[in-house]
Parts: sequence; structure tokens; C-alpha cells
Amino acid sequence: MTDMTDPNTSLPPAADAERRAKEAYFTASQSQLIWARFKKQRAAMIAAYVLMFLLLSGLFAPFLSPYDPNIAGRNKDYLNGAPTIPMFCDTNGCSVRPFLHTIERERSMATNFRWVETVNEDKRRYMEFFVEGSSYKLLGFIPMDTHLFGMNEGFIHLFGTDASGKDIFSRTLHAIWTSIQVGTIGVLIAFVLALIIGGISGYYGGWIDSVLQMITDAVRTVPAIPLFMAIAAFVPQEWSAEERFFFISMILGLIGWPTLARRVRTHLLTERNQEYVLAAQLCGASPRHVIGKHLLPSFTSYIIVDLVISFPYMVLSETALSFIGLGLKDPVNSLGVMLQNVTSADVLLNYQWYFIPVIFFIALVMAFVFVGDGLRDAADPYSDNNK
Amino acid sequence: MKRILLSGVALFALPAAAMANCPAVTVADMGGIAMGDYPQQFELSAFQEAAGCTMEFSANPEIEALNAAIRGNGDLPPLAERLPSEPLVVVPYDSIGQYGGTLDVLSNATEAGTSDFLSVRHVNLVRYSDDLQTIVPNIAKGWEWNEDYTQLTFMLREGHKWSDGALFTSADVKFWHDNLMLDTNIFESPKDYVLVGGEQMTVDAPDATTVVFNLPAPKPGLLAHFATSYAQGFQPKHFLGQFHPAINENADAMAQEMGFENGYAVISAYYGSSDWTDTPSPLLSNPEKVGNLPADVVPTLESHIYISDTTEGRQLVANPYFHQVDTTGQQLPYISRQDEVYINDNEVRILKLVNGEVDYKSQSVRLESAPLLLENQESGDYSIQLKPTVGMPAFSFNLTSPDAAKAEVFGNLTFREAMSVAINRDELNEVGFFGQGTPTQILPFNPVPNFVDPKWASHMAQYDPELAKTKLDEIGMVDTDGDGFRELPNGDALVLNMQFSTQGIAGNVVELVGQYWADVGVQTTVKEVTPDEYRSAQSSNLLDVGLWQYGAPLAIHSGLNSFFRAPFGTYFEHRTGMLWGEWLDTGGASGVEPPQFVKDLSDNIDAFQSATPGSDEQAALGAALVEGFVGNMVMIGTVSSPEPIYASNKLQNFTEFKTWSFEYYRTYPYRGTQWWLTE
Amino acid sequence: MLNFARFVAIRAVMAMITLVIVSLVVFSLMELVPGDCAERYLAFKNTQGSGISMADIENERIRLGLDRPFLERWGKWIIGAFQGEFGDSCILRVNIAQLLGDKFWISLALCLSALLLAYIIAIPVGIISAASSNATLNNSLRIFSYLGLALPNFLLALMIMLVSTVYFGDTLTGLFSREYRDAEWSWDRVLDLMSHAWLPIFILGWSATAFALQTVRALVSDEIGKLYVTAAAARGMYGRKLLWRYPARHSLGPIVNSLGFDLNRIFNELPIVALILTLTEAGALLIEALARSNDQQLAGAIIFLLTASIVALNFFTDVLLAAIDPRVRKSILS
Repeated sequence: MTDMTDPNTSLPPAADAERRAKEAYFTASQSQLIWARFKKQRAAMIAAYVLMFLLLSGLFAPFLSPYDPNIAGRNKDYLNGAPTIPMFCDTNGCSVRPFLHTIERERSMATNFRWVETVNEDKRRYMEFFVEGSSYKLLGFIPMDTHLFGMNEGFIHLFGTDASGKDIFSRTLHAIWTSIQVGTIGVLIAFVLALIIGGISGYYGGWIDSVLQMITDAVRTVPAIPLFMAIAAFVPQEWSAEERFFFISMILGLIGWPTLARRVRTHLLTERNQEYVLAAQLCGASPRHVIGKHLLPSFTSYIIVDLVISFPYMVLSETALSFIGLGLKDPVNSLGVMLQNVTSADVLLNYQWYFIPVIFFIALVMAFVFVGDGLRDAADPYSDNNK
Repeated sequence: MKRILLSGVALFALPAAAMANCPAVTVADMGGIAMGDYPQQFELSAFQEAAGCTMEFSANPEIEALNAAIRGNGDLPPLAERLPSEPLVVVPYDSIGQYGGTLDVLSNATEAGTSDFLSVRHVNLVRYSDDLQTIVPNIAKGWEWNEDYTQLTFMLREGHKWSDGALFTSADVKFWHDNLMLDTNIFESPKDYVLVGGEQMTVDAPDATTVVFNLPAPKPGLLAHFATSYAQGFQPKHFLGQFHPAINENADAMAQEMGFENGYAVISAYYGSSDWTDTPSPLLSNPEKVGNLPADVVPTLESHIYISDTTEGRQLVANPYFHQVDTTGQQLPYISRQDEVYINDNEVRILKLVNGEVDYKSQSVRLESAPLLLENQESGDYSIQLKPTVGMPAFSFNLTSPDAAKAEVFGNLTFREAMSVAINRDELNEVGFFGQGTPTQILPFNPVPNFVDPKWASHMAQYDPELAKTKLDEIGMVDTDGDGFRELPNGDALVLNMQFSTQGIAGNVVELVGQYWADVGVQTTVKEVTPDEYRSAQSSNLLDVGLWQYGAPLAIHSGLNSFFRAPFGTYFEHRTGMLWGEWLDTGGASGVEPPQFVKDLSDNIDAFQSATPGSDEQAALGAALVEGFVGNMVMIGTVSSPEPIYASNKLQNFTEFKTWSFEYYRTYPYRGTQWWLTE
Repeated sequence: MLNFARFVAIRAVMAMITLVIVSLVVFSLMELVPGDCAERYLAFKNTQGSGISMADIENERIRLGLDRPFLERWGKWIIGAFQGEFGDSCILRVNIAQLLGDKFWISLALCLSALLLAYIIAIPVGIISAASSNATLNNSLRIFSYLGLALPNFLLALMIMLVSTVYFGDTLTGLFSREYRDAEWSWDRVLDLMSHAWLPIFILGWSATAFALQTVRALVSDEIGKLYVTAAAARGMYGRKLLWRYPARHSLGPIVNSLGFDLNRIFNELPIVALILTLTEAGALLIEALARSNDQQLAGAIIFLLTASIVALNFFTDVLLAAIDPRVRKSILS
């Protein structure tokens, strides 16, 4: 008997390792289990890495981007310019430091107002790292003015520029962060409301459920567009574009809760007839205790998954609303705004680099969706793959 | 025998030669015939005399079928009975046209973005010729002012008929004025274009072809109004009058038989309570009752008339009773049908233009689309012209701001001058207008008349940020807290809230100007809002900065005083100094008393409108107006830019426009009625 | 049985109340937006260049009855709405019922077809995805479906139109060719409609597929791990028959439940696509009315009709679900 509980008993290394693994498994908390299962899914892990990458680039956007994404950081001489990718070698030889050629442009009625470029191969501009540039506040409170890279003279545009000369690379990074912020706020608000309303509705059932369901349905049926228009009219004039977008994300949350609430309620409706709930009630637990300590944790995994999955829908709502002019607009940097700029026949035909933020957008959405699916599979204790 | 034969032939040949049809004269090739009293057109008798011919009239071979499509028209009488006894002879620009074809156009929606298409078929008593300076006859044969511009007489054409065959007479003009314009059941208060200084006119119709307008005060601009306005000075009394209670005592009973509430309801269904010719016809607004009505659409004098009207588009056919002919006697219009499609999304419209699916468009086509349109001209088989516009993007400061400290600063001329020189107009031109515009100071009269001193076009329009900073220092706006931005003289922070709508001004222009002002130390925030929010804020005097178009030609200022009288625009235009406007309108009862220069501007524009056109008095007043407006920087101008005009290569007799503008009613000076289409 | 009838009756009443509440919310929202019918109409006129004064606007307001108190106006509107009378459009001055005509039915048909397409793809793919262990198949199917979600509708529509214009010379806009635009309904017209409608149905259906797919997949993978499935497998069932008879059928319940809201989501996306493809139906009119011209009357009417459809569909599915699924019945009726 002492053998089993005495950790100092020596065993062959393989059996020892197996025993430790089993112990780890049986004593692991729920989140550790989920993480272990998640790691096994390749698609989900790839998506998770992509997501992390995007989040970090958004978070450190001011540091990673060479210029201010607003009109102050524009390149007056390079409007609607194609991406400039640094190179190491050209006809004049190679160099350790990457460099760019200088481009001269002109346009007139004769060229149908399209820029005609001449590349000056002899004039090189070198890339530098950790350069001093426009000042910003990293993470919102650390004042800095160092940027990861820049040029010793002139500009560098990895993703090209738009019609005012703003650097699309810088804009994209900042835009990712804005869109993530909008999504997060929206999801959090939706989540809290859904838990409360869905929880009460599902637990009590009966007429409370009917009334709350009616309210939920009513809110769900109200179309987003008129709601937005009316609310947008109430935004005070003095608020800046950024403050306006916080408001918009709040509103997205307020119209997003019904879907989550319904799921919560459905789960509760089925779970509350289970025996463990009955047992808790017989022990004299209050309804709040039963909901909070027993029912909700039984589907924490579902909640997490729902959270992650509703994220892209929030971002998409912001995009669609911005397209019809009700959400964020230029000069705010959000993925929705950058998508708006793409929807012009001229751009689609001639300035294809405007599409690069679209790829980021798609990547962000797909990453969230795959991670969400992966989490759901990992969280489900009955799932086939986890035997 | 031979001699008899020869002389016999000669006897026949001679009269034949004398009765030869009129030559195919065009503006491009006048064939030696001198221009008449008015450019590019003649009265019939004058033309026959000048060309030595007798005109033989011919009509569109399809006209019978077209007439059949107009419900309410009877059988088609012969051409001689359809034309007035004195039709207007129009000299086409390049070629004598061939009948047929369908003109394809786009508008935004039933009553939106339609004016350039409306102007193609538009007619009015008179018209501006394509030099935008000479007024020529159209519906009217001629006109006459009395000495002091208080009586305007129009001579109409005998035998001129409406599109349903009824006679058009002076009674129709009087009906339009007395029974529609002045009827409070239709217009609560009369439109200002039928008033003179707020007073009503009277209209007399001494005989069928003479109309006299009696004005309570001189208003030389009344003639120009009929040349530039969309409002036609006549409506069919024989048709609408039967539903008008003041004219027909059975009007209400008749209307009720047809399913309408009363006579005015029927008039509203046809006339739409507006002189705009794009209001929904009964086909669109009352499709279930239109069958009971005598006609689908109210009769018109225009070159085309509606036969179908839905929310997707409209279709028109040529008017069989149109009063214009070309120099060989062919009745205009050449184009048999017109097809208007509604598309409200700009990108889709551009695609259709690029694809060559449209024959003409200028409204809603903006300079930013120019590159795409220009490069596809060959593949789409169309041509683009770039022509200057009349209004330009303008900035103003709220001179009657509710915030006292701001009002003080905005009201200081030095501040406004500083803000004006802080703007880099050359860069704006490059970024916003492909370098095609002209950087300039605000031009209240555009195109600029001779009496305006050219120095005003560049007054405070140079790019001098140092000067701007010096001026700002002068008025006491310095950076007291070291954040890089200046505070107001009293120490409060200043953030200029720039709210704009793309309907009035382009976003990139606003962003750039905001940046220029930030560069000299004035903090700005830029935000796009809907046009309604903008106008609402403007009305409530809550804007810091006004951001909209401004500018109008001389002809408009002759009739409308709103551009020089506080708040310097109507509800839908650029306004500033709202409270001064209130003061002027209420005679001092409420609002804020304006400074002397504002009162002077208001007095001067009234005097300007009453002065004789072309006189020294008018010139002096005009110069004073410009000095008062530009010198005091009521608004700040940026760049005067061109806009594109699109026309298919199949469209013939399409001449070069002088401006891209609504002000002369778009294509009206360029005679859309003589356009024709090749295959 | 009586219990069930009572349930149906209560649900019906609640549906009506929901409709009334939503209409109140919608009506209030339209009121809150700055500018009203009078300003809108005159604004339109003014973009053409005529001078309008504040007095004109006031007069117009009185003429339209906009100076009456809120409740009175709402009351009149809602009573009319239940009878199918929506008054006149602000901008077009046309009777709305005439204007909408068969447009609303076309829109509904488009949305339902898109929904059908979405589920036709989502159900098999969802089941396969949940049940299969073939990672490549799983992932590629999912990537394709989710792409429909990630690519915004308007972008997709514009890109397709552009490619078609530039390379095929056909702008692919509109629901009907010119000849059939105002024609009477006939078999030819229906064919013409279908030849144009495939594009919006495809675009809307593809993006709706993602949501449907996630739902189906989640439900099926929940069910597939349950013991009764293992029991059935132990009894010798396998392959498609196993999948279909047990987990799939049980998952259908919640799907049916959410059909009403799926329709709502699709209908929310329809206007944008319709705008780009210039489809002449209610969705395009709605976005016109809401985002461009602020025509409250028209917008309110369309939203009311849509809401009524959704509420009706929800009611129907709720009742259906209660009739066929005993678990739901037990929970609701307890």
C-alpha cells in the first residue's frame, strides 16, 4: 500500500514517466486538459499562431510601423504608389544593408492622370533599424519615438500608399488593433448580458422564460441599420472619431447578446433537469449558487468557444456598417474603413495593393474561426478525437 | 418644237428652283448665310429670307407609332397642323441629323441626380446661348422690357400646340402664374422666383400670343430667371384647369369620379406641387387610378414626354407637336426615344459608363473618376471633356459662435487671414484635383465678370505658414501649455471641430486643410457626418467650421440675393453667421446685430439686382460686393477645379460645354434637342 | 392536447406582442434620426439647385402631419400597417404598398433560396466535418465554407461584377433584362429572373454557409459522442446510416429553431449586395431609404414586413419543434 502513495519508490524510468503522465492527467484542472487536447489539433494550432502574430502586430503597431498612419505621416510625393520592397542586390552590386531605388514620378492630362514612374537605379537609399521617427505612446502610456525600421532618406512603403500618400503598411497594423478593440468590447458586453439574461431565463423556465424570450426575440429582430443610424445621431459633436468608435463597439455588443443568450438558455433548460442540480437544490443551495457554481461551469467551455466565435461576427458587422457609411469612416484606421477604400472600380483595376489589408482581414477572421472550432473540440469531453 | 419643249421645261424648272427646300445649313458650315438676330437660330421668316428658300417640313417616320404610345393623344394630324405657324429654326452644330435611336441615360433615383437629363429636353420662354451671355428666344418668339424694368412682355408663337394637340396660348402662362404659383392650396407661400422683393407680380394676357408681366419693382433678373431656371413659365390650362376648382366648378366632382379626393389631388398627381419636371407622374404615384384619368402624364411643350414611369426608370418618346425644326425643315427632336435607368451606387454608375452603356452623363460624375474614364475612352467608345465648375470647396468660421471666446477669435479678421494663408493650395490641387484645378481665393461671382478687380482672386491665397504664425501670435493665440497647439487669448484650449459631409466637400481636402492648420498650431479634429447631420448642426449654429461649396454666376446673383445676405446661403448651401441672418430677417427682434460690412453687403445686393445690367452703377455695386465679401474673408476659398462630362461617340451635334455646372441648367444652353445618334 | 393548444395560443399572442414592440422600437428609431420627411424631400429637391427656406420646410411638415404627437402618429401607422397600408413614401411620394408590390416577395424568395443553399452545403459538410477523421478533407471543406464568411459580401459582389465587366462586357446588374422589366409575370419572366438571381443567391448563400456550418458541426459533434451513438455502433450500424439515423436527426432540432434568425441575418446582408448589383427589390429600397435618403415611411414599412415574416417563421418553427421534439416540449410546458 505504501508503494502507491510513496513518491520515493523507485521505478524504471519508462514506467515512472508513464505514472507521472497519468497523475498529471488525473490531477489536471479543466483548462489544462483543454489546452492539452487543443495542442494536438494541427489546424487549430496554426490558426492560434496566426492569431497571436496578428494580435501582437496590432498591439505593437506604432513601433512596427515606420510612419504615422494619419495624414501627418503622408508621403506627398508618392500618391497611390505601388509597394516598395527593399532588395539586397541590383545591377550595381550587392550590399549587406537592404536598400531601395529612388523613383521620380509625373502625371498630366496626357497620361490620363496616371503616374508615370522612372526608377533611378543609381541613387540608393538604405534601410536603417531602430530609427527615430514620429512620437507615439506604446501600449497607450509609454512615450517613445523609436520605430523598428525606416530609411536614411525618403520613405519606404512595404504595402504601397493610398490616394493621400498615407502608408498602407502602417495603416494596416493600426487598423488591426482598432478592429480587435471594437470586437473585444462588443463581445465582452454581449457576453455579460447574455450570461445574465440567458441564465435567468434558462434556470427559472416557465413564464419568466417566456417573457425574457420575447424580449430577446424582439431585440434580435430589430434590424441593425436603423438602430445604428438613430444612435449615431446621438453621438455628441465634440467626440472624436476614436470615441465614436468605442460607442459603436458598445452598440454592437448591445445587439449581439441575443444569440449568446439563447444558447445559454438552451443549455440550461436541458441541464437543470439533471440529477446533480437536484442534489444541490436538496442540499438547500440558493438559485444563484446553483447557477453560478454548478450549471455555468458545466458549460464554461461552450462559453469560451462562443466568445471566440462571435468575435469575427462583431468585426464583420463593423465592416458592413462602415461600408454603408454608418460605422467608422476615414480617417479612422480600421479594417472596415480600409475595405471601404477598396470598393471602387478604379482601385480594383489599377491599385491592387489596396487589397493587402483585405488579406489580413480574412486571415484574422479565419484564424478566430479555426481557433474557435479547435477550442470547441478540445473542450468537449465526449468528442471522438479525445479518447 | 425643240424650243417649245425647252421653254416648257424651263417654265417648270424655274418655279421648282424658286421653291427649292432650304439648304442644309449647320453652324460648322453656314453656306454663306449670315447669322440672324440671335446666334445659331432663326425665326422661320427670317431664315427663309436669308437663305432664299421655302421650307418644306418633314417629320420622324416613326412619329405615328410614338404618338400611339402617348395615352390620351388622339389620332395624329398632318405635320403642318402640328407645328406652329412660326416654328423656331435651329441651326445644328455639325450635321443635319437622322431620325431614330434611343438615348440611354442614368440618374440616381426618381428625383435625384436627374437634372442633367431633364435639361436635355427642357424648354422655357427663353434660353442662354452657349456663350452663357446672350439670351435667345425659345418658346417665346421675342420679348420686350419697358424702360425701368417693371414690365416684361413676351410674344408667343401662333399655332403652337401642347403635346396632346391643344393650343398653347398666353392663357397657359397666366394660368401657371395665377392659379398654380400663387394658389395657397398648392404653394403655402409663393416661391421667391415669382416674387419681386417679396411682392407679387401680375400677369396679363391681352391676346393669345402676348403675355405681360407687371413687376412691382425693377427686376432685370426676371428674364435671366426664365433662361436659367428649371421652372417652366407655363402649364396646360386646358388640361389642369379642368381639375382646378377656381376655373372649373365641377373640378371636385370630376376628380372624385376618377377616384381622387378632390381636384387639387389630381393636380398634385400630375404637377407634383413643383415646377420640377421629374416629380412622380400618376403612372408611378397612382398606378391603380391612372386608368381613370384622361392622360397618363400632363401635356408638355418639351421635346420628349414620359410614357413609362417606375421606380427602376422612365421611358420617353418624342413630342409630335414640338415647335423646333432644323434648317432643312425636319421637325425636332431627331432622337425618337429616351431611356432613363436609376442607379444609386456611384461605383456601379462608373462601371456602366466605362462599359459604354450610357450616351450622356455629367451630373454625379466627379473628377476622382476621371483617370478610369479617360483611359477607357477608346474601348467604351465615348469622350470625356473636363470643364470648370462654378462652386468651389470653401471654408468658413462660425462668426456667430455661441462660445464667446471662439466668437471673438473667429470674428477677428486677422485670424481668418492667418487661416487662409496657412493652406497650401498647390498641394491641395495636386492631391485632390490631379493638379487640374486653379488655386484661388473665394470667388463669389464665378465665372468672374469684368467689374471684379483680379487682385481678389489671389488675396491672402498664398502659402505662407510663417505669416500665419505671426498673425496668430499678434492676436494673442500662443501655446501656453507646451503641447504644441495654441490656446485662445483667454487661455482656454482650442480644438476646431471640422465636421463635413462628402455631399458638400471632399474628405481628403478637409483632412489636408485640418493638417495645415495643425501645422501652424491650431488643433483640429476631422469627422465625416451625414449631410443631414451637417445641415442640422449648421442650422443650430453649432458648427465651428463651415465646409461646403460656394460660388454662383452673375445670372444667378441677379435673381437670388441669398449668397450675399447673411447667412450667405439657403438651407442646403454653405452658411455662416446664422445669428446675423436671424437679425436681418426679424428686423433686429432676435439674433445678433452684424457688423457694418454685413449690413452693407445685404443692401448692396438688393441695389445690384435693381440696377440696369451692364451699367456703371451695377459694376460699382458688384465690385463693392466682392470687396466686402472677400476682403472680410467671410469665406475662404481653396481650388477651383474642373469636372468631367461624358458623351458617347454615337451622339452627334454634341458641342463643347463651357462649364460643368447646374447654374445655367446644364445642357440647356447646348441644345440637347438637336442631338442625334448614329448606330 | 389541451396543453399543446394553450401553448400554441400563448406563442401566437407573444408573437403579436413582439411584433408590436419591435414596430415601436423601429418607429422611435426613425424618429430619432435627425431630419424628417419634410426636410428629406426638400433636401432632394435642393440638390438640384432650388432655394428652399425654413418656411417651406415647416409648411411641408404640417402638410405631412409631422407635427402631431408621437403616439398619435405611431398609433395611426401601426393600425395601417396591420392592414397592409403604409402610407406614402417620403421621397417618392408614391403609395408604398404599390411601390413594394411584388418586390418584397422577390426579396423573400432570394433570401430563402440563399438560406436553402447555405443549409444544403452546411448540413453534409458539417456532418462530415464532425464525424470524419480525415484532417485534410475536414480542413479544406471548412476553409472553403468559412471563406464565404471572411470575404465581405460587398467586396465579393464588386469583384465579380468588375471581372465580368472587364472581361465579358456584361455588368451582371439587375434582376431582369430590359424587355422583362415592366412586363407581366410569365414563364419567360421567371426564367429571366432566375438567370439573373443566381449571383445574389450565390453571394448571400456562401456567407450564410459559414454560420450554418458551425452550428451543424457543433451540434453533430456534441451528439456523436453521446452514448446512444456508441450503443448503435455496437449493435452493428456504421457509416452513413449510423450518422444519419442518430446524431444528425437529433441535431436538426436546434437548426430548425434558428431558421427565423438566419433569415434575419441574410436579409440584413441583402441590401448591400442589392445595392451593388442594382437589384430592384425591397432590400435595395430599404438601404436606399435608410442609409441614403432617410425615407422613414418606406424604411419603416419594409422593416415591419420583414419583422412580421421573421416572427411568423419563428412562431411556426417553435410550434413545429415542440410538436416533434419531446425534450423541448417537456421543458417549455413544465
